[in-house]
Amino acid sequence: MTLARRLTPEGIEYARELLAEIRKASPARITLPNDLLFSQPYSAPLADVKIDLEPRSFADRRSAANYLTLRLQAYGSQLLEEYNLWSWLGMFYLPTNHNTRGGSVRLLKRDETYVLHSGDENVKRRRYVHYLWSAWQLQRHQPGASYLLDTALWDYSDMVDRVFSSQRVFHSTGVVDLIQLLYTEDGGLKPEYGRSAGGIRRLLIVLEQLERIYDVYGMDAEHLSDILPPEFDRWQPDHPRSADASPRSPSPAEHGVDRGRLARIRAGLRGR
Amino acid sequence: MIRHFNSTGRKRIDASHVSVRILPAEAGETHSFEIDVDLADYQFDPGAQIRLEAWRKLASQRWQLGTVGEPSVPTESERRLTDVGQSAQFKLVVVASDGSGRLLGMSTDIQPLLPRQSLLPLVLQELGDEVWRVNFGDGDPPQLEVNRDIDMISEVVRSDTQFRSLVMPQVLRSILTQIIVVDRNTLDDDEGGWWVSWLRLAQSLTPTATMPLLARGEGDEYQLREAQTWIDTVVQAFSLQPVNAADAYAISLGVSR
Repeated sequence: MTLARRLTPEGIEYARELLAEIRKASPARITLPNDLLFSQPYSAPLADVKIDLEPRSFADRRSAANYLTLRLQAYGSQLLEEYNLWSWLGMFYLPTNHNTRGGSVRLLKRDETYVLHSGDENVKRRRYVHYLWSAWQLQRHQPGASYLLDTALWDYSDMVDRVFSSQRVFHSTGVVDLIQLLYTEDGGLKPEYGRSAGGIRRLLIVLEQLERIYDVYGMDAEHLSDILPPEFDRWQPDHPRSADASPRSPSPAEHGVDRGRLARIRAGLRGR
Repeated sequence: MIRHFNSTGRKRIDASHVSVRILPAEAGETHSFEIDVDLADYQFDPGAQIRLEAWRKLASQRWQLGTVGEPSVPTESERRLTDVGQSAQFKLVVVASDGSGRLLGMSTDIQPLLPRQSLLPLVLQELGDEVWRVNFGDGDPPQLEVNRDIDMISEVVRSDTQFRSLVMPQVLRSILTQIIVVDRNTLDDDEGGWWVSWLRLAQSLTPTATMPLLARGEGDEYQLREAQTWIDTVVQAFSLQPVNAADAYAISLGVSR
């Protein structure tokens, strides 16, 4: 077991240099210098917080979130803004949790995916891309979002990015569920969910427009689904989707969609 | 002429019926807020839900405030601004009780009342082996930085007699030196700035002493000595009242003076 620490400003600077070196060299594996994680001036013990951890790899965001929730449960939301701890965690778990391609390490471009600086005035926004902080919080706020939680910690697809980059979506009552309802099937993402007609990009724009009339981010997925304009019908569950993006796709009623099954899927989302 | 129609049927809640006040926070801690809402004029359905949102750029945070008939306020810990800063704006919405999510009312943007700014904000900082220092940043108002690795340091700064009697006069000395000798600012500067409050404080401590005026770019030895003497006089007065430094320090050591 290892006692968690926090990175100092010098440690965060050092970590950023190391991340840049790793990106440049694309090594076969990551070995971090011990002094970053365990020695002054780069790291320091946590005051009033004692967290025992073990180095390990996580299969996906959910398993990382489950592990961290268990280890951090004594402190809970007290650690939400302990960014220097999250920076230390980000570096501590990096050697065992990173993407590789062709036998080489591939790190994500944004440093804040791994380290956060409490002095950064935008840290409250940037923390949503930290690979461990975001998984930990996602599990808490959106435990049913399997399309986000059951993905690798380094998966920042367009879908993940859309949710993580909008705090209103991330904390919403039903938008994350709505995205799951519309754009996933059989545990995976539907093809062309991004840019095509009625895709997620369009959905987020339309939701902003609907905000003039509805409490969009406080509504559940079922009610949100009911107020969407017809351009999203082709994405509804069981709707026979058309490959062409016609300006007016038929509604579920016109297609004779099995409303009973749709209701069951929606009820499943509500019941979580 | 362009006319704007509100075709949504929702009522506009005037900002005068909602007030949000950001509460002062301890150094390094997150701000919380208080809210007063008066929706009596709007005749909303008593079952309609009240929701509050704080937002700033892409950041936002939401709270449920019960219903129009039975409003409720989240606990103070729930009211902490964990996702937005204290510069956030607020918006109140009233939502239909039928679950449709339809907005019955929406406030104009609400600017919260901010806590009175301290003349010398306290900031917990990594200081290595130093206990405290005054940070002037890049022309910013000074901040008293203290070593975050020392347990209870915020409490020590606020109430420990030894710390206050030893440190606070030196803090004032370094700030006045920065204003008068380094930056060469005066009360007469058209641009005004953070130093005005400090010079007024100094003036109130030594109303009969003449405040020095050092021209920028000149290094007159005599003027510099005069300035130093004035700063010493102010710090001496400050040490006597309100800090009462020498007596307080002697008492804390258990010795007489």
